[in-house]
Amino acid sequence: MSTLTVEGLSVHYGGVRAAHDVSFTVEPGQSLGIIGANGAGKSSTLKAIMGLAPRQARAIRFGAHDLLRAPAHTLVRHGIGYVPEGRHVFPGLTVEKNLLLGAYTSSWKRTPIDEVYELFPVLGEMRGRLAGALSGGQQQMLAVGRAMMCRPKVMLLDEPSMGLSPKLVGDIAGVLKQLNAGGLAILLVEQNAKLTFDVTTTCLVMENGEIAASGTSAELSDDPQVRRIYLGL
Amino acid sequence: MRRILFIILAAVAAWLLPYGLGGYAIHVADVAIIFAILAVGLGLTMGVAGQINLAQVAFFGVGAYTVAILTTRAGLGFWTAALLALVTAVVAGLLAGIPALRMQSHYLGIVTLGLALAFTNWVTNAHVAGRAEGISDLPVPPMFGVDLSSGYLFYYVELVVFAVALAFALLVVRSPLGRRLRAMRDDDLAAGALGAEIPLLRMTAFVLSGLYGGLAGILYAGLIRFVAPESFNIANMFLLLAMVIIGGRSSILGCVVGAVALSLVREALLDASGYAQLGYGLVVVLVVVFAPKGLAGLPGQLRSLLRRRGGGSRAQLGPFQPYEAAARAGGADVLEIRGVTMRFKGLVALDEVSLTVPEGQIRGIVGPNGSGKTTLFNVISGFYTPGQGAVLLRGREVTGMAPYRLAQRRVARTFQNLRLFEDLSVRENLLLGLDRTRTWWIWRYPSVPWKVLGYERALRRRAGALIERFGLAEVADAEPRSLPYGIQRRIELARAMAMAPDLLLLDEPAAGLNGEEVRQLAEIVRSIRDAGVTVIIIEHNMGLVMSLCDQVTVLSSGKVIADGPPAEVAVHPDVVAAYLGDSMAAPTEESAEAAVEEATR
Amino acid sequence: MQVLLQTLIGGVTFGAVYALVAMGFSIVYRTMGLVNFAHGSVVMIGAYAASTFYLATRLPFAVAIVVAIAVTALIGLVIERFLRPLENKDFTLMLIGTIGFGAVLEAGAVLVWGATGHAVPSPVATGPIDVAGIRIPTYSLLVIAVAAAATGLLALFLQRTKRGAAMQAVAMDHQAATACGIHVGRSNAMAFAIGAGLAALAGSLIGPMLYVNPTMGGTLGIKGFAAAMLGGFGSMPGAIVGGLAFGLLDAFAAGNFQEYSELVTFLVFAVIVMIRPTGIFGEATVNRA
Repeated sequence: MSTLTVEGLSVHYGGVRAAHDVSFTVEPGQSLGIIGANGAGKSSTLKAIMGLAPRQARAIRFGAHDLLRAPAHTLVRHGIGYVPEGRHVFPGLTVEKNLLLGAYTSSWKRTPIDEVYELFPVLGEMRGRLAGALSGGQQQMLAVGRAMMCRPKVMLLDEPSMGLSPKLVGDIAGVLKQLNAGGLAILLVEQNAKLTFDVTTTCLVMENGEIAASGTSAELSDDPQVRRIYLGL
Repeated sequence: MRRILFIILAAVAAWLLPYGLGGYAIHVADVAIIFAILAVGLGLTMGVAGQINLAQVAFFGVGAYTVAILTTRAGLGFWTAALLALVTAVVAGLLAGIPALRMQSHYLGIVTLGLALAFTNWVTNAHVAGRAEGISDLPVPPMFGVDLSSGYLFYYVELVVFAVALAFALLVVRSPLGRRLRAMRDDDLAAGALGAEIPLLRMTAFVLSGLYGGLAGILYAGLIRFVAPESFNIANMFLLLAMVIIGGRSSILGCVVGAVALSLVREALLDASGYAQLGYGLVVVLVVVFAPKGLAGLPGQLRSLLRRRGGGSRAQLGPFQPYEAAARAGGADVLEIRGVTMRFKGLVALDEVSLTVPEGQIRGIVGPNGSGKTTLFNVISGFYTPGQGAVLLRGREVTGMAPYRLAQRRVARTFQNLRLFEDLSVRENLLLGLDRTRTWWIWRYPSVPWKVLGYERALRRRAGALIERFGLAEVADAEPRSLPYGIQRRIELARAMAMAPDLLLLDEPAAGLNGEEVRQLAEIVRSIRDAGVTVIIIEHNMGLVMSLCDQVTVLSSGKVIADGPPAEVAVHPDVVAAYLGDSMAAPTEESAEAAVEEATR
Repeated sequence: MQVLLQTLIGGVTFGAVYALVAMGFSIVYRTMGLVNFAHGSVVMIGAYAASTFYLATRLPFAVAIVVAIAVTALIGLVIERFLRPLENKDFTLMLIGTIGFGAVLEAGAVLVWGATGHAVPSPVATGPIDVAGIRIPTYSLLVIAVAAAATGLLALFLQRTKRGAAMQAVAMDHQAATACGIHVGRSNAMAFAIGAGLAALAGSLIGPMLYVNPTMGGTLGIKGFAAAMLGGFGSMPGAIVGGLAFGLLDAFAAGNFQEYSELVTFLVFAVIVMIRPTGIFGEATVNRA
């Protein structure tokens, strides 16, 4: 089993500092959440781990693999699934093609596509449709499904609740809890603190590109300041 | 002072140059100046205004051919023909510019290239244009008894024309018009939101292109006294492009240097033209990859390389100096929205939204991600035209009005993801907001250029005051992209306030700010309100909304679900449900916009 | 009527070639968002490579075409490698860079083959077929058949293979594609090579119909580009329809306006794209204002 380790990660876009000296670990089977406002550096952190943003770090490791030196397209082979912010499905391809591309690095003869259809029956019904024609919620399921196709050990999710109705957010939460219960480690980045506290056991709060607080999700959800700022209570 | 010295030196050198040149060499210099004028024109259109115009060589041809035809076929005098040629070239520029109203970038490139081919095709086949043989024996331009058939004397005519053309181009670039053109090049949406009349500006760019092309064409006709299709073919268009790219397309002086340098190189390699073209091609490719700003950009590139080594300095914001409070006028509604519905491909982003905002209020608009808040702003500021409903500004209907018109009616906005002009300094960003002239104002450029300079000086004084007020003195001449996020947010706010707005729309102004910065923001927004500006603010930071806003409107799935004082709205059952509950499963704005974007990719 | 049908056949033949050029443009544009202004020059190189090989070796024309495709695919790879630093960054710069490459290729052709060009004998010896009084050149049929086959193969590749799907995925979203494990650079290089190969095919086919010379790329490239635009940039069906439409427009302009055909063609083209900048199959991100 592999632990995702991030040590001293910083992200700069030009002169703009998006994240600074961020460190955390995600143990096998653990669920870690990162909450924070728009622009707090959460997405940049995830993108940097995936090698999709300019980064500096002391170390980014997954088990024995050094991700800092691995080209971005090799991460999926190590069992890291990524659900990008805003879903980013391939709109002009069918649902099925989208899913199969999630398994690009392995043989298309033996993919977990049936498991994905079982988890999201609606995707099975729409397998022949273009992904761009799906609703926001269905696209989100497709993005999660696509990330599952590489049989990941850890899944990184960037704002899966974005633009979804509360009902769909609830559905996504259910799926994530189910996946986590099945042994998949989860790193969830969210503005929606309620969803995050619901899904994860441990949580970080990011402000201004730095980790401002951390604790168990239960502790944080009772913290008066967190409640005021992130839950609007 | 050093600049004046440099100008005098350059002028003296240019004036004395013919004394050191032989008969052929002066001819080469004459041709180089013509290319320099063409390059300045292309630099203005393509480099400064960002219009991919590949018909510049055709405007050149229009100028030269008009002179040739009018003098040899219609028997007009040279200078009468020249005047008409200039008008014809400008008209050609206007016509070729029409496609720019509908398309940009490569589309525009291919259409203008097609038009250039059409021109070559016409002159190659039309009897009046002398077909493939061209027209020879053009008259020598008369000039008070001076014999302009001499390359030496013609040089001085060219020199004067070139000096005027260059000075005019520099005036354009360093004044409000040039700034607007550059802003349009970088981000036409944001430029429109600041009141730049984008369609007129694009046409202006093409008029300039035609003007400089025509000017060069007239000089060419007077110098060579022979025109033929191959002088205006695509290969020469490429040569011209290479001059501008190698010199540095957004720098007028760079274009001149590129033009002169390549003209000389071309002359030196006349016997090996195949190798010469190979050379230009390679140099263009290398410049594009390694020195995108051309020769003119090299010093800056070196400097930034050194600076990176030295490590950047952290800029600091100064304190904000509050506006003087204005007497609070009450009552009148600044903005009224009546039943606005906005659909994207069948998905409803705004559903019968109605609201009114009275003068002097700070109105908060909140709602879950994708509830239609930014869409609402885009409707108010003219980016979207709603399917149904009306937007009224101080009682006047403005539905579907273009963003620049709304900006002229003093609606200012900021953007969720910051839309500062990256290639312009902070000061220039603010100057764009301050400049309230309309595009037709540019008649002053050719007629009373000193007034333009006077206006520019006045603008700069006001920009200085604004920079002081918003505490931006330390960063005034930096490029926005090099600055921390919090400062960029402050700049965008200052830029919006530069427009002296009546209605200010702020889209998530606190996003990415730290606690102290949020506190300062609240203070600034209050001061802006006290100065008599009505403010509408979209914000996720509930703490800020609760403390700052006089009234809050809550959107959910494109509908207004609550409207009232913050304290009341916060406990409204529908609001609690929208944020925390589990109802309303409708497709959202996010997915609708994403679908539109994706479909259009 | 007969004249009309005769023009139609000529138009469709050239249209098939324009369609190939347009498909080459489109596949590169789709995957990399790059408008390859050097494409016309690649067509020209393809024409030269095929005809030179054919004339020198007397081997079947098909072999010459394969050689030409190999040569241009290699050139495509070189261009892509050079411009890779600009991918997904500055659109205008990339565009100008490809114009630079076009000039290099053209100059290279002049240096290698001379400025005058050469005629290519038709590789099909048989005379035209007579159908109800209309003479259909056999070579036209060959051109149309080869173009159709190439289109079919390309569609099959994009629809049925993993690499084809990956190439489309990169076109739609290169970050998400990377996260799926697709090497974006490699995929782009392949798209570029395919685009160049299509250009070579077009060039080889048009060689015997025109006079092969170093400047033929300019006009052919612009026409293919215009065809792509007419159909809707980046759309494969659009490239085919646009190519045929442009071929017909060209043929009718030539029939009715003789030497002014180019003038008429481009003016009509300008008017059409003014009315519908997104083309028949549509790409809407034309004017971001």
